[in-house]
Amino acid sequence: MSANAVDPIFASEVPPTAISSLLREVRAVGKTVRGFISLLGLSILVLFAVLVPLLWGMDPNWIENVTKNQSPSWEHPMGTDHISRDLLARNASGLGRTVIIGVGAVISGWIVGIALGYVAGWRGGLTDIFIMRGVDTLLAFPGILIAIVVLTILGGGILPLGIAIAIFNISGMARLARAGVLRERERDYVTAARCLGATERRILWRHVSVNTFGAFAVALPLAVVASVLTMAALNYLGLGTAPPDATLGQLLLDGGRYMRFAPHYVLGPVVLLAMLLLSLNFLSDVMSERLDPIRRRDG
Amino acid sequence: MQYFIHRLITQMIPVMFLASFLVFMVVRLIPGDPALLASSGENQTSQEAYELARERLGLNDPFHVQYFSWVGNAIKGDFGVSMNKGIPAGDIIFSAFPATIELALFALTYGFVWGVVLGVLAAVNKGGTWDYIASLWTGINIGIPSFIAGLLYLLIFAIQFRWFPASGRVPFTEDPVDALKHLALPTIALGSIVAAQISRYTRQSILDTLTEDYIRTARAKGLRERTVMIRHALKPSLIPVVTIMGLQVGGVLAGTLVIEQVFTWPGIGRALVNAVRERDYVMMQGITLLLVIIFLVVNLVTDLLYVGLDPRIRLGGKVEA
Repeated sequence: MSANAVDPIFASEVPPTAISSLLREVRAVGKTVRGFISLLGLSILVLFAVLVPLLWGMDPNWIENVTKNQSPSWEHPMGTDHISRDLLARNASGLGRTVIIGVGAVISGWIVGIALGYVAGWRGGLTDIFIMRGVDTLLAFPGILIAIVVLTILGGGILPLGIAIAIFNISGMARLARAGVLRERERDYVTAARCLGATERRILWRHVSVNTFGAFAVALPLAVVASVLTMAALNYLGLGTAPPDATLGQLLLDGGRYMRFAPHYVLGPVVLLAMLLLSLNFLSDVMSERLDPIRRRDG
Repeated sequence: MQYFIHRLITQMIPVMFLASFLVFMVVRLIPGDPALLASSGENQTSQEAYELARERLGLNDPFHVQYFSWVGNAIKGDFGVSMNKGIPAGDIIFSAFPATIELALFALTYGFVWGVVLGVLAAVNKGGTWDYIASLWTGINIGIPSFIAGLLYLLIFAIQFRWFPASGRVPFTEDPVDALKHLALPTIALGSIVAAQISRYTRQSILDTLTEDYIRTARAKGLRERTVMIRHALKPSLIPVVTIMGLQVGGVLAGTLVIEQVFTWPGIGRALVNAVRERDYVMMQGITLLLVIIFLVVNLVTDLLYVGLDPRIRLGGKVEA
């Protein structure tokens, strides 16, 4: 399969470098219609979030004091908000902040979830029952309810918001990681490693873990979608915000209040969030279809 | 029945116990003393008033006594007295409840009917124009969360075109037409995700069913294609769809939490958000507990429905857990 074969016998075993295989994957995803739309959308959003703060040198929190709720103009391409801040700058910084918190929360939640799932799957027995009952309890709550409860305990702000989102990412990941370990633990290479004298810890963290990562990669876009969505919803409910810094959910909340007089205000974050979530959803569709032949569209 | 009892004992009860315990703990974990909060309303916070509040709230009792008396009262529908409004939290919760149920029922019905219609259309025209339109529609609606879609609908249909009212609820008993007008936008915002999921599953399920032997037999008997579709293919295809429907109930209830905020719908989600904003922990506890119980019951009922609908499980008598 891989082009940079070293020894013909192990040709199929040599993993391609991470970057080249990522590039190949991206190219394959881009060939489908949904994949193309999704990659295009994500590129535009990344450019928007990175370039606007660099090139549009306007402070997102600066209050100009004369131009409240102004419609889009050359001076303010996306208009101004209810206290005359530039909405282009605020949307761009809000998008960046939303994505960074969302991805950060997913990753930190996953680290805990993966560790719990691995230990539960590998140890089995009472450890398994204990951990998974806890996870089931978390799953019995809808994610947003957990987040509301956590935010009530921790108070507002960016960090509690991140923690709330991270917690609701733990349970799903623990299940996925446990399932992966249960699938892999009976494989021959585990026995082989054990025969070679590898410790249980080494087998789990060096051998089994690597083989469960594929399923995690597919789950990533959807997890980010759920996190960004929950975060936006929480901010929209007025929870976990840290004014004056903008997040997309905060902009939705403020914009929603002035919808009648200044419809351009809420339109920006609505379009950005819709684009972001739609692109990630399409990406997740294409990725899981590529890995799972049963779910291919023409099936 | 065996299955029901098994599920009840192994899952429902432990999870419910843990969940209620967590909800109970929320008040203890929040920084600040609830007795101080409760007594400060009476103008001056004297030591006496504080002690009285502690006694009244039962904070002097041992921990487990507090927990069990709270749960015991909650089962009887007594969630305590709202800290800000001074009336029983149960009254507020149960008066907000019908609005949420109404919205959820409308959204689920719309989602199910429209989803099945779209799924059937897509399956019958597999690879055709309808299939493509349906797949585009489902893709967009699964991708965009309900409250953002709701804001968009508000912007377009309530503010730009003024076809629908932007907020509030009118009870059916007062003016059915106006009630429907108020329901339309939140229903579509909330139900479209359901419809999208349902149509995907319906399509796939029908396509799977159509490959079965008995469909070929039905066709070989010379039945019309329409009869084959409706009598033979559609009914068994809907079994997995009903299960998916059960899963949607939870999603819709969670969705109402935010959608109610978008459309200022006077339901339980708004009550919860208000309670959180006003730091009314008694209300929060009550609503959270109620929502968790509803979720668990819905999950259980979905499982039972599945067992009831699939003849293989029913006739086999024994159920694999």
